[in-house]
Amino acid sequence: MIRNNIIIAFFILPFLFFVGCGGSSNTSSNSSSGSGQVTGSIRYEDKEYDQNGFTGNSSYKAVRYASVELVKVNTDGTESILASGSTDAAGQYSLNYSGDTSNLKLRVYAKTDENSGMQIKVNDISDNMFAAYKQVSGSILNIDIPASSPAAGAFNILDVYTSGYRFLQKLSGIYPGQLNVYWEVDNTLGTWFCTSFDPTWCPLGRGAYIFGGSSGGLGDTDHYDDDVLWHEFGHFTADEFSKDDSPGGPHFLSDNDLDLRLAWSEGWGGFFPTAIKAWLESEDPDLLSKHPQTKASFYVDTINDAALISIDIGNPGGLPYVYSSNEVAVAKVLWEINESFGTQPIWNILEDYLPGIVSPPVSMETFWDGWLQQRAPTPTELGQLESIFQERSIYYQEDIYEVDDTLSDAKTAALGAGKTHYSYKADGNTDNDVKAFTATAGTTYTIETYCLKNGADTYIMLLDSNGNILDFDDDRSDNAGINATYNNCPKSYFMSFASKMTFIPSTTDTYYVKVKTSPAAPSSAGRYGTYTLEISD
Amino acid sequence: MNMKYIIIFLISITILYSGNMVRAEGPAAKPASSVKIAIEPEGTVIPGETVQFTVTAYSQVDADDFRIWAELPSGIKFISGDLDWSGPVKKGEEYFISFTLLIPEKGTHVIKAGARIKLFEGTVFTDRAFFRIGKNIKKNVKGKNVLPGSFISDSKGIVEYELQ
Repeated sequence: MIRNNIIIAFFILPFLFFVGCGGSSNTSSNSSSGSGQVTGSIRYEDKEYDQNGFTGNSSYKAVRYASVELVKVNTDGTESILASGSTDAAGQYSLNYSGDTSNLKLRVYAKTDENSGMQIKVNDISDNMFAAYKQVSGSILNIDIPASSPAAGAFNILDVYTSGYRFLQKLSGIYPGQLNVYWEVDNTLGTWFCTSFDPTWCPLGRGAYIFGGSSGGLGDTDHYDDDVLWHEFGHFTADEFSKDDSPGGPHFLSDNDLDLRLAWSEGWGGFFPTAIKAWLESEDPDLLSKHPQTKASFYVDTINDAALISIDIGNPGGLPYVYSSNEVAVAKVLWEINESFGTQPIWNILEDYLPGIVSPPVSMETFWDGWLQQRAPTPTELGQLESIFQERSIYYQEDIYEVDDTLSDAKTAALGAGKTHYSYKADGNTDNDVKAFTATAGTTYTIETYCLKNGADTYIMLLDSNGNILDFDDDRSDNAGINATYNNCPKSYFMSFASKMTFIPSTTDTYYVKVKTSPAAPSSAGRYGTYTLEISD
Repeated sequence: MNMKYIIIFLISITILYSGNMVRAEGPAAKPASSVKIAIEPEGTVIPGETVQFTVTAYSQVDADDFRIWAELPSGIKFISGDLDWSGPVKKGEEYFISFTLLIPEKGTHVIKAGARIKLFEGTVFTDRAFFRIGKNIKKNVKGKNVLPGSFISDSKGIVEYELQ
């Protein structure tokens, strides 16, 4: 008898206990008290894409580090949370609870659990937290969130940004602070990142606003466009760790006369998805959504499952993706540096150098300055870097006329022949380009700069042979080349910063033209621009 | 209310907005496609009558491989015009196709239009637009809005979706 009781105690009672404590939690309206454990995995359906858009293939991926709750739905409709926790890197969770075991549901939030160290949450535009739930019907509950669920997009956003946080931890050693994401499917206002509150654009304050696009409301949603999401994450990283002086505003990938600050900011945003994909490709390719044959350097934004924008940042072709005033060119330069030197030195400049720069504003130029200061590159490395920039027609190097900073070093100008100059001095000083020409008394000479590129803003001075200033000009008044081509130069915003003067000497003599970056250059321009100087009669 | 507090309040609001205001252009949006498209009818769309539509595309880049097209749903009768055009485009110039349709007496129909530029090494820019004839259909995709229970820590609402 005793033996039988022991058998009952060891084998049957635990089974009864298990049944009564959540192992068979039910959804009936009859209340029952007890305790137990619910375990399982949570996954969401991810969509594969390639350079043409979504491929039609999908796979389920773990919902990583997300907050989960075991919720008791009371008869009056209120809720009581019996247990809370999080999923792990594999999407697994385990919750122990005690209390009424009837009418339970498991809720997973599109929000990282605070214990993960990451602070990401995906809310709607009314600031409600996105979540999905499933009725609990046993001690093991696996949850799959299909792509057809209205909640699925929130979990892809969470996953993309979780990878972003881990990438930043690798680069910086720490996770960034809070990232609030505001997502709405049918909103076509656009997708952007706000650094602060704005009543029109950023009504919920700082965060990523994932609305999609305004392409006729035909489904330019972005919640599965990982590259678009990481582009905005790039802006978040710049705001969180670095310095971003972009004035914002509209921009096209093909614009190559953008404000240098905007081109840098967007170029960083264009580069960031390629860098993180390259990293994931080596670390954990299963986390990627791209087709394995699709290069990490492709940036794809979809509409109605097809590519709205598809461009290979690593191989975008030539025009118009050139100059430091083009965002694709900036991204391409960073991609090539990443290929040659890795992401860490790029990141070090962003995190350690750029935030300390008060003036000039952050642009491709200040990144270059940071590289020289932080790394003191060897001639070999400098040559590598110069060729990467040069491939995008960005010339942070001395032109062939150097040294020509003073009257005594001036080179003689051939009349009627425009020559390209770079406003750059390898020693870090301000560049002056001085040209000499012999002028005949009574003849009219035109001295002008044109074909301004890479953010150039010129200022010209005319000097006599004793160095006395006879005339000067900052911005030419005819605005040639802004809306039309001029001397075979493409039209460009920077042509409004070109200079021009006419000169009729009273004495035949040698005269000098000195060109430097305008002391009144606006923040949209730079210091290392490229320009053509021509003296003609 | 005490005038002092009113002034402090107004100053606070001024500082709040002036300090944090993003410029009028707004934040930089995601990269825009270098082609933009619009579809518009020439006049009022009346069921049972013909109407001409124009699809206009605007390119931000020079390209040799450009296409503009319109897709008609079943039930719409095509009368005349061009539904498709391909050719080179110049930056800053507009390109369009026009076509005339007989509008059905009943039903909801959506005319879709697209433009696509192909550049170097697989670079593609597209844009889409549509014109809806008939009633708008409101999709009901929102989940159940759940008020926060007393145990929800940050007192925010939840928009949650049930999974089967």
